[in-house]
Parts: sequence; C-alpha cells; structure tokens
Amino acid sequence: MLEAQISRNLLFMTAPPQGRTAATETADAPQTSRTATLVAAVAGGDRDAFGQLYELYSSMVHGILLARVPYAEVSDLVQDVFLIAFKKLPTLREASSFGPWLAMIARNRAMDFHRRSRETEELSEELARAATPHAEASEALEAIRSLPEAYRETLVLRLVEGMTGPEIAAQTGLQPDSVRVNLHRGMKLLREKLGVGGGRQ
Amino acid sequence: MSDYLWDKSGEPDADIEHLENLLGTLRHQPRALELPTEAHTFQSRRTFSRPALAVAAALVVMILAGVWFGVVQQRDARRDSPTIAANPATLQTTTERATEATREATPEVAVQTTPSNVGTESKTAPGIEPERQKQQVVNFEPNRKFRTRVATRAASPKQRRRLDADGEHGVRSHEATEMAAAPTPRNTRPELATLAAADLAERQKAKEQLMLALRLTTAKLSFVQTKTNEKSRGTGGAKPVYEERNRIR
Repeated sequence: MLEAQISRNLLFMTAPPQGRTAATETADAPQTSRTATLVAAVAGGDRDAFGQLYELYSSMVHGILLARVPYAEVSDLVQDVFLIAFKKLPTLREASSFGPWLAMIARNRAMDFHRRSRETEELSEELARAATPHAEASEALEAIRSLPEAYRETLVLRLVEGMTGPEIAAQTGLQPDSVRVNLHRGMKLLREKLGVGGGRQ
Repeated sequence: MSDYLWDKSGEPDADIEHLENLLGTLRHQPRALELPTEAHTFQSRRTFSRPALAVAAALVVMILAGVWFGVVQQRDARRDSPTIAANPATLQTTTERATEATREATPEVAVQTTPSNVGTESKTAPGIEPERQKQQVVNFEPNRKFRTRVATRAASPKQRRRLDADGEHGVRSHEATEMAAAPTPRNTRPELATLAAADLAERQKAKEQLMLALRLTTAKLSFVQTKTNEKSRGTGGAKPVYEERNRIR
C-alpha cells in the first residue's frame, strides 16, 4: 500500500508541470530569477552574492540534512555543502537550477556521511538523542525520520524549517503537486505514529 | 481540507502548530559562512591541471619514442639475418669452424658407446660418417650435454652438406660456437657495404630523433617545475581541505 503510494508520488514528480497553479508560478519566478542573477554574480567573482545564496538556501540544506543525519552533525555539514557548492559552481550549467543542484549536493553529502561513519564507531541512538537540546523535539524528529524518504524531507522542511509548500517546491525543484501530496500523506502517517489528532487532517 | 499545512493560510491546525513549535527549536541557526580565497577555488583547478597534462604528454612522448625505437631495431635485426645467409663465403667459413669445433670435441680417450646416445646423434646429424658420429656422440658424461648442443648447432641443413668436406683446423669448441653465433661483417660485398651504410645512417637518424624528443620532454618538465615552484611561492601553496574546515569551525 505504502509502496504504491510512493510510486504514485514519484510518477507525480516526473509528470510535466501541468498542475501548477498560476499563484505558484508567480511565487517561483522572482526567486528563480534572483537566484540566477546571484549565481551569475558569483561566477563573475562576487563573493557577497554567494553569501546571499547562503541566506536563501541554508534552511533548505539544513532541512535536507536533518532528515538524514544526527542533529549534532547537521551544522557542520551545512557548511561543507556550501563549500562544495562554491567550489563546484563553475560546473553548474543552468543558473536557475541552483536550488535542485544544491539539494542534490546535500543529499549526496548525507550519504557520504553515513558511508564514512560506518568505518568509525557510531554513537548509540540514546546518546545521539541526549546530545540534542530538546528530548521531545528529537523524539518527534525520530518519528519523522522513520517515515518513507519522500515524506521525510518535505515534512522536515515544513515543520522544522517553517517553509511553506510553494517555497519547498521552488527551492528543491520538486513539483508543487507532489510536495502537497507528500505533505498531506506524510502528516497523516506522522499523526498515526505519534498518536495525535486521531488521524484527522 | 485546511490549507494551513500547504501554505500556512486558513485556520491553523492545532496538531501542526504544536509540532511546528516543538520542532522549531531544531531550526537552522544561520552562522557566518567563511569561504576560501578565490585563488584556491577557481584558479587552482587550472594551475593543477597544467603540470598533470604536461607529465601525461611527456609520458606519452616517451612511450611512443620507445615503441618506435624498438620497431626500428627489430626491422634492423630482420634485415641482418638474410645478410648472413646470403653471404656464402662467410657461411662456409663459419661452417668450417663449427665442424672443426665438433671434431675438436671428439674424445681422445676411448669411451663406451651407449645405444641411446647414438640414436640421438644420428637424428641430428645424419650426413656425418658413422665413425665420426660415434666419436662425436660417445663422450664422457660431464661434457655430453654441451657437445650435443654444439653438434646440433653445427648440423643445420646447409652446414651438414659441408660437414663432409671439412678441413683440419685446431679451433676450440666454445670459440667455434661463438664464431658461428657472431654476426658476419657486412662489407664483404660492395652492395652489402652500401646497405650497411644506409642502415647506419638510418640508425643515427633515429637516435638523433629520440634524443631530440627526450630533450624536448626534459625542457617541458623543467619549465612546468619552475612554473609550479613560482606559483607555490607566490600564493603560499594550496591549503588542504581540512584547514578550510577548521577555519570555518
């Protein structure tokens, strides 16, 4: 059942953007053009422009990483991701797709983190939880992390980073409709996991 | 269905608000991003690739030169072998010497004849007189292997024909073997002498070309080394990644 839902979601993601509303399109456009301008400026040697890109996208990168790696590591990894992006920026072909490109770097960095941490001794789950400032928050985060990957990232961006659905779609490059579906289905599953709200939406 | 989850519009959902407040404590706290110097990012890639390319090019040139030199040598060797065969006078001399060597190797002490040895020798040198064959084959044990080798070498089809008409020369067996194996001087005939001169000229040319290629490679490598040293002196060298990470932290 769950797999069928996920595969439907994936189909939704790859479908052409016919379902995009006019409001979403207008919300995307300014940020996309601003990003493109900033990327062009960075390529031209403007380092402050990269600082602005950092301000725009650091929440997204933080959310993507938080959905995958322990809270204590996320801050350092965010810096790593932006450092990698700065070095690899000349390889970016389309300036307007900076967001999806950065999201992919963040996902790869998270995978790389897990690959490397397998070689070293990993902290136990209890210790890692104790390292986070709020035990209740970390429990809720663990519940989100136990969800399928498609829902995990979207929910963290929405509930932890406070981004709206259109913002998530614009920054990660996902289709707005698939973000909406992921949010609602993920929220339903989260409610069931946490036992709150009696499953209502 | 409330739109609050999607774009925070409409009536807020109590559960979602609670989760937002709870998880909001884990929200990203932006901190200053420290970027590396520009020379280390965009330009360093270019400066790094230059020496690598130069070294790769030098290696390719050296390998090609080596292959070419090997091919030239092989061609020369092939050209040499028919020269020896085409020189009957030399061949005769060599054969005579080889025959003498074989005869020299004949024991002066009477030794027992074994049927197996006779069989071996009769296969290799059937044209030799039976008496002499016996003398060649029947030897005392320590030298048997060596003598068989000498007899086999001397008994090639052309040489075998001349083995019957050999002269009497006192040449020692190992000297004869060396002489038979040594290349024949090529200036015994005028056309061969011309060929040899052409060969020598070609060899000399090839050697010069190879030396030129090597000189070029050396010059390129030293140029790259100088450039790299200048760059590293000028920019203080490329800093490793962990330094950057430490700086950020």
